[in-house]
Parts: sequence; C-alpha cells; structure tokens
Amino acid sequence: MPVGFTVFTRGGETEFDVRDHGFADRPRLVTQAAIPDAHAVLMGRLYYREDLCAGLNLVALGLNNASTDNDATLALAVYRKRGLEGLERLEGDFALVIWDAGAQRLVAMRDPMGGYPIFHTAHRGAVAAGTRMGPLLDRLASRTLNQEYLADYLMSPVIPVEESADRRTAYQGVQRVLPGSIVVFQPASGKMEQRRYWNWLDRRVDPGTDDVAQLGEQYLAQLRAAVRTRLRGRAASHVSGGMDSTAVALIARDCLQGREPVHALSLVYERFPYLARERPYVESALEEPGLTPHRINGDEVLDFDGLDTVPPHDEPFPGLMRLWSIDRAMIAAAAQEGVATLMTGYGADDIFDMQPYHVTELLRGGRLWAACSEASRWARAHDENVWQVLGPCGVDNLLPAWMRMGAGSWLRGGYASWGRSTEWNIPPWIRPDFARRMDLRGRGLANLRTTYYACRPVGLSMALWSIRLYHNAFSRLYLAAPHGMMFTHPFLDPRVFSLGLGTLSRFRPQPGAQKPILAAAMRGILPECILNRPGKGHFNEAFFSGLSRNARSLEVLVEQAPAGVAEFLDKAVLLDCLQRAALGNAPDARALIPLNSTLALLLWFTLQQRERRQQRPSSRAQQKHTDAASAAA
Amino acid sequence: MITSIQTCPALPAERQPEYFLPPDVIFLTVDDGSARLLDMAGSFHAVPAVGTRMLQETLASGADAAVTRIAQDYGVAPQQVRDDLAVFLRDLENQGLLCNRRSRLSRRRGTFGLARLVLRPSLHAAHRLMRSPEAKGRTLLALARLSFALFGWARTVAVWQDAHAHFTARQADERDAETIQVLDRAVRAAAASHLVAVACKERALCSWSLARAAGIHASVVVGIALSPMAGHCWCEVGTQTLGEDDREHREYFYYKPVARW
Repeated sequence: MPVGFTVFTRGGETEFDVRDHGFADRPRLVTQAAIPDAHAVLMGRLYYREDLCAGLNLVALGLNNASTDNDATLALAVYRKRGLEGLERLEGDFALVIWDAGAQRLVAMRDPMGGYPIFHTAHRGAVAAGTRMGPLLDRLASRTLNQEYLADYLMSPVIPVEESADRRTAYQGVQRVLPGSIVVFQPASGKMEQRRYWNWLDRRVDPGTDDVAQLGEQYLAQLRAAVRTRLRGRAASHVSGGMDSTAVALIARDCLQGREPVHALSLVYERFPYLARERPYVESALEEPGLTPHRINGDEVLDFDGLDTVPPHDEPFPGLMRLWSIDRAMIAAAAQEGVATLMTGYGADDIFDMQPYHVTELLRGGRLWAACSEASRWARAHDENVWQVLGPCGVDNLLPAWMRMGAGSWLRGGYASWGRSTEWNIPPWIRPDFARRMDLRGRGLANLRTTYYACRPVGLSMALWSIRLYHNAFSRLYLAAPHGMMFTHPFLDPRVFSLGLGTLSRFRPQPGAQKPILAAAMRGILPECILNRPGKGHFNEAFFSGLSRNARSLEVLVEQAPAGVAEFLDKAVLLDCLQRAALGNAPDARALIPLNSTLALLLWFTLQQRERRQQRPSSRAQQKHTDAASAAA
Repeated sequence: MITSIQTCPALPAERQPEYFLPPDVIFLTVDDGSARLLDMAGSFHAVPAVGTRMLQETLASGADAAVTRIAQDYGVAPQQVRDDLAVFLRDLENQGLLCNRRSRLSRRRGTFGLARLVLRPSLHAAHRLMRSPEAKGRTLLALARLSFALFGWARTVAVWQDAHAHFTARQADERDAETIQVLDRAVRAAAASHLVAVACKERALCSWSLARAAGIHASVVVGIALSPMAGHCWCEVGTQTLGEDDREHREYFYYKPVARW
C-alpha cells in the first residue's frame, strides 16, 4: 500500500489501514491517535500548533503526546474538546478522518487548499474513506468511468476537477471530500452530511491600508509565520531566481537562525538562451549565506520528459505534462539530502502580480475617459497599445460570456480553429456528438463565468479561480510522500492568501513596478538585483523543446490509447494537432493547455488499463469474494 | 536553428520560375528538416520534413523535377508523389503562401500603382503638415495601419521607401542621439494612446519614416522565433532600436532577424 490511509467502517466496527513512509530520520507524515471511544488518522501536517494547543488540556483529555509531531493527536484533542466546530480551526496541509465510536459517526475533513485528497464510498451501511482510490475501487462491483467527470475534465483543462456540486470523481460510486469541507457519515442510518466550512470570500482579511510599505510589513509578518510553522526536519526550498521562491528560501534561512542550512534547489539552463538569462539571478540568490546550493541541469529536465516513469495515479492530472519532470527532479534532489520539508513560491503570482483590472470597474462606473487614460498609462509603461490593456483588462470583462468565448466559436458549438482556440473552447479532437451530449459548450461558458464573473472586482474573481489550480496533490502524494517529504507552499497558506484577497479588493496597482508589495516586504532580505529585476519570463523553450523531443513517444501514447477513448476523441485529429504543436505552431505554451490535459488523460487511461491487467489473480479472487459478500449482505 | 531563408525572387515577371514565393511570404528551413512559412499578413505555417523537401525542390526546379527526385529518393511511385505534391501545392496556393507564374502576373500589376497614388501624397502631407513628432507619429501609425490593410506588406514597404527616397540619409552618430531619443519617445507615446490598434509592423514603419524624414538611415527588420512560432518587426537605427523597448519585445522571445528593408 502506498503512503496514506484507508478507513473502513461497517456495523460499528472500524478498520484503519495506515501506512507511513518509514524513514526514521524524518517526521511522520501519516499519524494516528486513539482514545477509548475515538480514533483519528491524519495525513500531512498541522500548522500553527501553538495556537491550537492554547486552552487544550491534553492530559485531561487522555492525550499526553501532543507535544511531539503527532498531529492526529492534536486534531483528536481539538475534536474532543470543541467538536466539529473546533475542527474548523485546524490549519495545515492535511486530510483527516476521525471515527467517533460514541456518536457512531465517521468525520472526514480536508484543509482549504486541499493538501491531500479524501475519497469515499458508502454502500449498504458500509463506509470507506481514504487518501487513495484504489482500495475503495477494489470494493466496488465494477469500475465505471464517470462521464460527467470526463466532460468537466475536458472543459477545465487547467485545473483538477474538484469543485463539482456532486463531488464527483473519475469513477462512479466514488466521491470526494471537497477542500475546506467536513463530511460526517452516520453508517447506521446511511446519512451523510457535507459542510463547506471555508469560504474564501468571507475569509478575506482587509489590510486596512493602501500604503505599499505598510502592506509589505503585514505580508512579511504573515509569510514569516507561514514559513516558520512549516519548518520540520531538514528543509529545502526551490530557488528560481525570481522573487517568490527566493523569498521563501531566505525567510526559512532567517527562521532557522543558522541552526542548519536550507537546501536551495535551482534549475539552471545553458542550452536555452532565454532561460539561461536567469542564471545570474539564480547565482545571486545561491550566494546568500545559510543556503546550501543544489544546481539541477535544467536542459535535461524538459516538459514531457520521463512520462514512462509516471506511476499509476487515481485521477488524471492536467498539469502532468508540464510539472512531472520538474517536480520529480527537485524532489529527487531533495530526497538525496534527507529533506523533510520542501517549499516553493507557488501562489505568489496570483496575489502579487497584479494587472490593471480596475479599468473594468472604471468602465462599469461609466468613467470612460478615466478608463482610457488609465489603460493608456499602463500601455505606455509596457510599450503596448492602449487596446492591449483596454481589451483584456476592461472591455472583455463587460461582455457576456458567450461573446467572450468568441461569437464565431459560440455559433460553431464551442469549437474554434487551431491557433485561435482558448481554454474555453472545445478542443478540435473532441467528437461533436460527445460535445453535444455532454453540453461541453455550456460547461466552457460556466467555467468562463466562474473565472471572470464570480465576484467584483475582476482581479479578485480571477484570484479565487486560481485557488482551484492548487487543489491537487499529485506531486505531494505521488512524488514527495514516498520520500517522507512534505511539499508545501507558504504563499498558499490560508492566512497569507486571505490577506492577499483582502488586498486585491482594495489595492489599485501602478504600472511599471514588479510585485511592489512583495518587493516592499522583502527589501533588505532579497538581493537587490532580484528586487529590481524586470518581470520574470516564460518557459516556452523548455515546453516546446520538450514537446519536440518527446513527440514520437506522445504519438505512440495517442495511437495505443485504449479503444474506449474513441467514444469521445478523434485520434487522427489529435495526432495532427500534436504534430503541429511539436513544430511550434501555436501562439504560446498556454494555448496548448487543452492538448496537455488530453495527453495526461490518455496516459492516465493507459496506466489504469495496465494496472488492472497486472492485478494478481489472488487480488482478483479477493475482489470476487468481496463482491459476493457485498451481494449477500 | 534556422538553416536557410528564402524570399520572393527579385526577377522580371517573364523570368520567374514555375512556382515562387509571394512577396509577403518568407520561407525558412530549420535544422530538424522542417520549415516555416511566415506570411507577413500575420500568420505562420509549419511544414514537416517531407513537405519541406517537396517545397524546396519545387521552388528550385519546378514541380516535374521535384516529382522525379522525390520519387527516386523515397522509392515511391512517381504518380503517387505527383498526386500528393499537387494537393500540397494547391493547398499552399489557396492559403496565399505560394504563387505560380500566372496567378502572380494577374494580381500584381494594378495595385502597386494604386498604392503609390494613395500613399505618397498622404505621407508627404503627414511630414509637412504635422508639427510635433508625436502628432506625426499618430498620423503615420494610422497610415501604416491603413496601408498594410489595403496593400499588404511588400507593396506598403516598397511604396513607403519610394515616398521617402527624396530624404537624404546618413548613418546615425552621436550628434543624432538627442533626435533619436525625441523620436523614440514620440513613437512610444503615440502608439500607447492610439485609438487604432497598432501592432509592431505599424510601429516599426512609423519609426522608420520619422528617422528617414530626420535624415537618419534606418532599417525595418523582421525577426522570428521558433518555439513557439512568432514574428516581430522593429526599426533599427545603427545598433539602436527605435520606437519600442528592446528587452520587452525582442529578447523576450529571442527573435532572430530574417529580413531587413
């Protein structure tokens, strides 16, 4: 069994199947705690433990080991003392399940960012919940792909499908606990109640000022706390040479106060001229005292590389083509050093890289001249034409969703020609009958509305949408966990992110400066050259070179995909588009996101098929036995 | 990496080969055997290795010779190659990426004269009547946009060059630094607030026109990037770029210059 847990309960009896990483020199990643009438298992870590412990008399609760790194104990203590409401105060990257024998209920909970998944099934008085889908599927009579999930996946090519109202997963009969939710099962009555305890809009924290220096101070305090609470065991951080990851690395170093170094992991490029320009920034960061540098040859870590080593995974991961090789290389380098906590700068862009979306609000308020002047000011600073600002940051956001999809595309049922396709359009390789049957155009429009029109201002709506990008635990679960490593992102700490959302609601960015609030926060900590650098660039070279280098193996992946995919996908069209993309025939890497996620889907299908073929006869026999038992019950 | 660059041959009409590139199209071959066709109207096309070979042979020796050579090299029946090549060439012609003798002769004659008739007086008026560099910049940007829309890349550039031929031109030196700075600022300001959506082509041509009117030698340069395919156009005065930010537009995508006017 991989690292994680599964909990089965039936007729008042509960079985915990738990497996941790087994490295003695690293903190535990899966912890358990038990008292006479309750049992908890937690995968991941709780943060801000001191705040949680305040007011808890652990000894009186029969839990005297919460001072150690056993987070399950702490979670159980909070539950015992404060009930379900108390659990809402837990902060961390975690998945938690508690069996309350007294109340005869099973409680499952995930943190607001969805650090680890929890899947569950409920059938005839038996409930199963766990971090992996496999053990749950083994108990189902059959595996049937969920068509609704598939349709959502194809039309949400950037983000993992985690937000559907019916909590659907890739397979029928298996559901998920949503991020920021608590699910309570009462197996005896068959009742299940899900409560969303975290609403990002309600949790916004107003910084109370527009002053950049004061905002910087507030951020630094929150970010420092977020980094400090994450430091357990040997620590490492990604250092890209940009502000975000370097900030995390240097704050971690300051928090450790020289007790031990922070391992700094950097991808360095020589072969690609644009990416090679990052090298001076990377080196200036790596020269900082207190960091132990690890330079990873980026020329050999391209997108689409190493797909033959991807392990079987529960659900298709849209970011697989881009992130697999990079995350794998970083986590492997960290594992060699016995790292227990690996941090990144993910999430900073979504808050700090502000675009002039306030132009939309000016237009909405009828202040046309002010909107044009503001757009023109931004255009001048970025050497653009006023329409390059006024369009995407203004007029486009006032159009109805169908117009924004493109009137021509809307009339063609949601399809767009190659090169003009966006993530809101139906990819050209999707069969029209499937698109019609599953209303893919409607789903694309719904996604578009969620992204730009969920709330005002538009920048806030986009930031809320971006949270969904991080509702995936792929690298954390399949790459880091087997090494006993926590892969974590301090900028995505809910305390930090809530402050960011509050700032987006009131702060009006100015053209020219790059991430001014973060720069103000990190003045005196980051090297000057990084603070004052022009914006960080793109990874087109790594993407297109990787695509070109792996084109043949990707073609084989498409050609040999299971026959069932023909129901929704035209292989010939997909191959044609893949060949065009491999020749660089696309506006940019972003335009190829639908292609990436379809390839990730095909790889997932292939691995699922292979895994099932490799199932040993004994497990098949066991499956039959289980099915027979279920049928008899 | 780009291994060869081919444009429309500057030959009299009666000496043109059977197939040739239209004046707005640049044909580039890449070291992996594939090729790119850059249509200055704003589109890009990738050609896989086999298609590249077909196109190269056709441009060099005509369709019949291409069929013979490719059939020999690939060990395929000539008729099959002929059929495939015919489909391929027709597709390119339909997309305006390839001309044969007849199609070009029929299209080119009238429009160059019309372009001259419309653009020359407009350009002269813009330079004479407008006082400030920014006002000139705005007018020239609008004119450039109009002429690209009406006459395409090659005719526009040719007519603009023709209309500026009477301005003397010398290589820029340190005495011109201030003038260049003023022009640079004027183009950027005009482009930023222009209500017509102007792109790099208009900006480059406007910068070129202002420099030439100031008596400074300038060039319009077209560059392309391969990953992904993208084109960009800018104006160079000596080693300097006029009217745009070097870093932002050129180095960001590592555009390699492929043509210069």
